[in-house]
Amino acid sequence: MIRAIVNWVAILASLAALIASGLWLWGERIWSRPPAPDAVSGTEDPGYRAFVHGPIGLEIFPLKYAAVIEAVSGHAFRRDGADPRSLWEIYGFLPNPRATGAPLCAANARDQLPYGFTITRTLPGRAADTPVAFVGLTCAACHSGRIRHAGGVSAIIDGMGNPEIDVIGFSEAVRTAVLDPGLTADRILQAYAEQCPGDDPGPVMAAIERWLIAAWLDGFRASVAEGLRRYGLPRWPHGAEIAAPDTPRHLLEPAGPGRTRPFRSVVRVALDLPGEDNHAFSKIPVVFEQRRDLRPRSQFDGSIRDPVVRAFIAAYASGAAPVTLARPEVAATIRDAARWTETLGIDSPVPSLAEIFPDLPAPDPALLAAGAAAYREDCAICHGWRDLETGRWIAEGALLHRHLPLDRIGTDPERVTFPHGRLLPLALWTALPGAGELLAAQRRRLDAARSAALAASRMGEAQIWAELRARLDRSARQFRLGHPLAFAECTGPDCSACAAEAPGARAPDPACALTATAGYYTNPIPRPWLRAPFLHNGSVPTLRQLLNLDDRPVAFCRGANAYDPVAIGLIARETLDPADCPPETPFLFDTRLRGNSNAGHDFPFTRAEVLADPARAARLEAIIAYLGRI
Amino acid sequence: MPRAPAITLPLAAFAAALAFVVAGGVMAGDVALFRAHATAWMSALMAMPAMWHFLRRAGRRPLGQSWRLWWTAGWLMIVIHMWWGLGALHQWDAASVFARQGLAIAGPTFLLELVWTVDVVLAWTRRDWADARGWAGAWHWFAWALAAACFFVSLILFRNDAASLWTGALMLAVLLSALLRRLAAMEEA
Ligand code: HEC
Ligand code: HEC
Repeated sequence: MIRAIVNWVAILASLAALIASGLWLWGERIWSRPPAPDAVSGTEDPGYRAFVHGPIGLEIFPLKYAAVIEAVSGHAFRRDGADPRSLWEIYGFLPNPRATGAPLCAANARDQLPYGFTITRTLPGRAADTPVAFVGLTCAACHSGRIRHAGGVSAIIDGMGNPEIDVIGFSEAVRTAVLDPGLTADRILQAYAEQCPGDDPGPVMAAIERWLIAAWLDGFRASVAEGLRRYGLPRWPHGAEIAAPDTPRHLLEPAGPGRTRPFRSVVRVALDLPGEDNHAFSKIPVVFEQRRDLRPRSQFDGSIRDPVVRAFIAAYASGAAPVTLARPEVAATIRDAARWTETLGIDSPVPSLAEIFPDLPAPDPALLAAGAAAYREDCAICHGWRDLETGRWIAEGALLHRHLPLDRIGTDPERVTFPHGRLLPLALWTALPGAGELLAAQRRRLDAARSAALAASRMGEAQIWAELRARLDRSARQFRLGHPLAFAECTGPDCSACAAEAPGARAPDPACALTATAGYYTNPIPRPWLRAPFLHNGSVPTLRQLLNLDDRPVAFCRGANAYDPVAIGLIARETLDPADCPPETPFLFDTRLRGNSNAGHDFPFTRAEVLADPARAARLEAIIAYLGRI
Repeated sequence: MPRAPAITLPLAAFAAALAFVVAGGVMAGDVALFRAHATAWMSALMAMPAMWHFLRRAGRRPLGQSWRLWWTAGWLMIVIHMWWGLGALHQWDAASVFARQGLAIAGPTFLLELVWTVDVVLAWTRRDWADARGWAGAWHWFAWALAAACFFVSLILFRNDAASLWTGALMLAVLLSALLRRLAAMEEA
């Protein structure tokens, strides 16, 4: 009797387990479907959608946690309890233009989450789909921004670098939030249920959700805990434990708003080498007119040839794992978004300075003509020029599309001289395994690099290549047909020059997909008014200062800076003391610190030369007028 | 007291194995890769009792219900293995499997899928399945040997990871013990 009961219970339980597994597998197919296009945006352009809404493998945390993050983890994110802004605004995320002010719940999340967030059902860092919604960043979180003018703030401008976003500060705060033992799945779900009483998932889904959120939290917490040894304590609120008490913020977290340290991350993820000595700060750049004929190489150092590779590295540097990047919708987003930036500003409009500041008097036509002529003499050689008649950028100039050596440009060197940079091209190229001949070439190249290192007795480097070779073999087994974003090492038949390319090589430009150079690349500068603060490290607030018409400030305050359409750039209080910075621009950008130098680019005149001769200043005034139009 | 029907254990094992494959995939980094591997281990684990049973009895005593059920469970799992191994990892492009693994490895694997399928069909359609003679009996032996060889090569010779190696070692031990017992029984007779 008992046997029979046990028997039947076992059979029924087995059948139930089979049905549950089957339902889950069926569910995975539904959860992995992207939302219907009309649900997320008004425009039908898939490139725009990919750029603004498409997942790029940067899922951060569950949607329900995002909804209650203020209530549950506010203390980890808010340094100043009196700051009235929302937690998202404090870190410079863009408010959603469709936000109504209603509490964020799953049903209205697409409208209430900040701009540049997407919702997926992918577990962060994995290729698994579950019923639990997660939020992640899109290209637009970094590459879209707003201009603050006297009357308030402009509409969102897609493709402009977000000058206010503090990605590093935010991810440091996330580390603190996750290490809080008080943060549990129950706490999150309870707070969510209070905030969104209408959203009841039912007992089965609630249990699954609790399980998955707890599992996510455990895994994330473990990796953050392990990361403490590698990356150190979160800079805030651990200032006193890391440096002398009362060390100001800009010394502890030197990137600040509008900048990231992508090459520190890339050295860490692609090479697994320490990034602590890395002072390569990158301003988040504009991504207009990325077409190959206009920008054959991108990034400030011209190290990347292909727009898709560029977009892959953006996501990879921000923490997207190769297995997530291999998901069809992620790979497609990266391709579509990259393609969209190629003609952004050409096929899709970007607001002009006059459109953003309609009250700005139009420049005198004679001044504009003089400016265009002077620009073509002084600047076009390196940047090409815009024909104001046709609106086309003319990519002609004897020094255009060249790696300009450091001694020639004179700007801060750290972005191109950071430790281990020479190893990066090969490490990045082999991070995504190809198939067939491409995979064979990747293996050969790693083996050759190892042999060369051994021959030169650089045993440490040889060890790194051996490890990367093992990583490649492992991932080749994972991506049997090759990773969908794997790319060729060069566009020509012979890639032998690529790995060996000498730093600072200028001519002729080898067709390598990735290079390590010791110089900055001369590219077109469409829409300079949206590039403030200027230079790759964002060290010069206005165009007038960049052209040496005004003194470049030694140290200034950054954050939510207002915009000056006459000087073309950010209004930034100049001070040496962080305590002088107003609350909306709390970060002191000190150009005397490593990586922050505002020197160089003294084209055509140094500041002393401008001061010596008023005719020079007049010429530059004219160029400024022209720059406001290109 | 009635004995539990032979179906209970294989069914429970199959359900547990599938749940492991599904849930483990969610927890592992890469769903497709984990599930492709795990279905292979699970197929081997479930084929094991059948192969043990077969080696001890085939040609000497009628095969039992449990052989047929475990053998079918293992086969089902290898079919699911195809779904992830061939479908997800290779986009249903069988030629790419040959290109990657070579004929010597991919050939027998695909052959096994075929031979095992026919064997399961025989087991469920022929009246004399428990005591098959002639070509059907030979087919059972062929399928058995091919499965043993394929599992041996992919689990032990390839040893992709510790789990594969342990599964392979277990299978080797089980089959060896069955062989010894068969030999001992034959000696007694
Ligand atoms: C976490 C912030 C962040 C995200 C998200 C991000 N980027 Fe970037 N992107 C950067 C930074 C910083 C650079 C500058 C790197 C450098 O050269 O130092 C950059 C550079 C670029 C460039 C080169 C611009 C030029 O003119 O040299 C392009 C193109 C680009 N990103 C496109 C994308 C696309 C497409 C996406 C989405 C798939 C994306 N980025 C996502 C931060 C980001
Ligand atoms: C010899 C080549 C060269 C000449 C001449 C030159 N530039 Fe540049 N320019 C560069 C390089 C290289 C950079 C990038 C430097 C960096 O970011 O460190 C740059 C950066 C800039 C930037 C900043 C872009 C950004 O996104 O921050 C602007 C604006 C600019 N140049 C305008 C001009 C103007 C206007 C002139 C003429 C008065 C001019 N340049 C002359 C090479 C040149």
